[in-house]
Amino acid sequence: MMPTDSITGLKTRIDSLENNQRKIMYALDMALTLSDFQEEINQRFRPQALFKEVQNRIDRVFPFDAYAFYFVDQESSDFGLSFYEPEDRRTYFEDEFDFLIDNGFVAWAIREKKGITVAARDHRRHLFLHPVATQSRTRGLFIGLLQEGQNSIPEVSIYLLSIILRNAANALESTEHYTCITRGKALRESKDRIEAVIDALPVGILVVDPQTNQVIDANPLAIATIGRPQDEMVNQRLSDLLRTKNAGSPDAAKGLTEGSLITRGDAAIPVYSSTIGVDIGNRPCLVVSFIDISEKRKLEYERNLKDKFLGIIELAGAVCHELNQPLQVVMGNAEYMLMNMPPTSEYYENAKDIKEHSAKMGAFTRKLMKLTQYKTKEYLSGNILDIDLSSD
Amino acid sequence: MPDRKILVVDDEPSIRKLLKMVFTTQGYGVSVAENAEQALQILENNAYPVMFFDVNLPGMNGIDLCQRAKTANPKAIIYAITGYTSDFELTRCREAGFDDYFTKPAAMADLLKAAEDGFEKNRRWESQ
Repeated sequence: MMPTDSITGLKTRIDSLENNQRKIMYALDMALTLSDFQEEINQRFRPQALFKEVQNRIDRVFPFDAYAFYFVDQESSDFGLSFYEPEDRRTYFEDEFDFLIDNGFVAWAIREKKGITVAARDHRRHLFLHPVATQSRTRGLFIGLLQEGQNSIPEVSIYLLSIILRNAANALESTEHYTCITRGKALRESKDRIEAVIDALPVGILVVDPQTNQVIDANPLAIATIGRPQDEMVNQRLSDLLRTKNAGSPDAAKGLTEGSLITRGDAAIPVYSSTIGVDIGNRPCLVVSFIDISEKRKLEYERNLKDKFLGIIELAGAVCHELNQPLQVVMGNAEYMLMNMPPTSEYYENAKDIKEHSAKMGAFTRKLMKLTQYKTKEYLSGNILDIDLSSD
Repeated sequence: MPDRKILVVDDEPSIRKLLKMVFTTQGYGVSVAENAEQALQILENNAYPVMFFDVNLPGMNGIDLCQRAKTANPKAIIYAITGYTSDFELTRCREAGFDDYFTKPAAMADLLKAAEDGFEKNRRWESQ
């Protein structure tokens, strides 16, 4: 038989071990449920949102009187107050943080990479400092204000808080990677969009080396218009492809310059071109853009022709009107004379000539009245209106 | 002979003189007017089976004059004589009621034939 004290002691020991086992099971269960913050990362992420979630989880492990999260700016390495709870504690934490910095507590916690509990400025309350850090980088700092009368945190709780804060740090780092990836994807998509727009532009583009005046690149419209394949286009001298007064000069960038684009078959296409100087990948380049104005030229030519023709029609009308009146008198009188004159008269042939030639002039003015198009024929050193062709 | 009357309207005196001379020689009774207003005055008291109007008259033009003359005497045969003819003007001549048109310089033989045809046509209508 064992003594009663021994039995009582063993029972107490068993109760204690069972109690410890329950705590460990609870701690393991909590550690598992406190896992990572993947869900938060996948959503529209802001550090403040993450810190709010971290605060909720810390609250389940060890409730503090107040919470503050400082976020490290990765470029300046400065700590900035990113989240605090409750809302009226901002000034308190800002003042305490200066105190903690000045006394080396922040540096201590970061160096130790674990949680430390230190007295606050008033020496009455206590603060728990824990870095928010991954294996390689410190992402921030958690500061918890212990409840009134508390001056320490159970070791198990500190262990769990470390898990939560390390997961938070990992989440911040993953977020950075996630942001980089999504930004890279956005940049690639943007690049694709811009390329598609440039390819669809009704503008030919040649990229030129300003030193050699040789073509480096060309967009699809430039290739199609000039009629040379890409590989043949590269290294061509710009002046062989585009003939303008200031081709390829940055001075011409101020406006459009008229010129001619020389195609593979040596045809000259009228174009408006402009040139700008840009750095592409740290390399100074000239971007020469051009617009085919063949259709514009054709329309201008047709408009000029139409204007000219309208002028001719008006002139012809005036000439006919003024000429036909006296012609009527001349021809009519000649005809009248012939009607009343015997063919044997010595003036008969003269009257006949007058009638015939005035009739010819009448036929000419009739042609003038029937002008329907603008046709010319060569005459001495220039061109004159071809009445026959123009009155068809 | 009174039914073989022709009215000639033209602002050019030489043409009025010429046409009067030619038609008179062929036995027609010819009246002349130098503008539309004068022609309308003549038409108030006289009927002319055949008329020749210059289209481009000062004041009221030959087209408007033709419309007025046709309204007063739909059976009258009226010819247009014009120094310049465009398609647009010809269309307007047809709409105004001109029976035919001649472009200056017109042959006197053609005008005489037109006058004769006009009287013949007028005579047929009168005999119905």
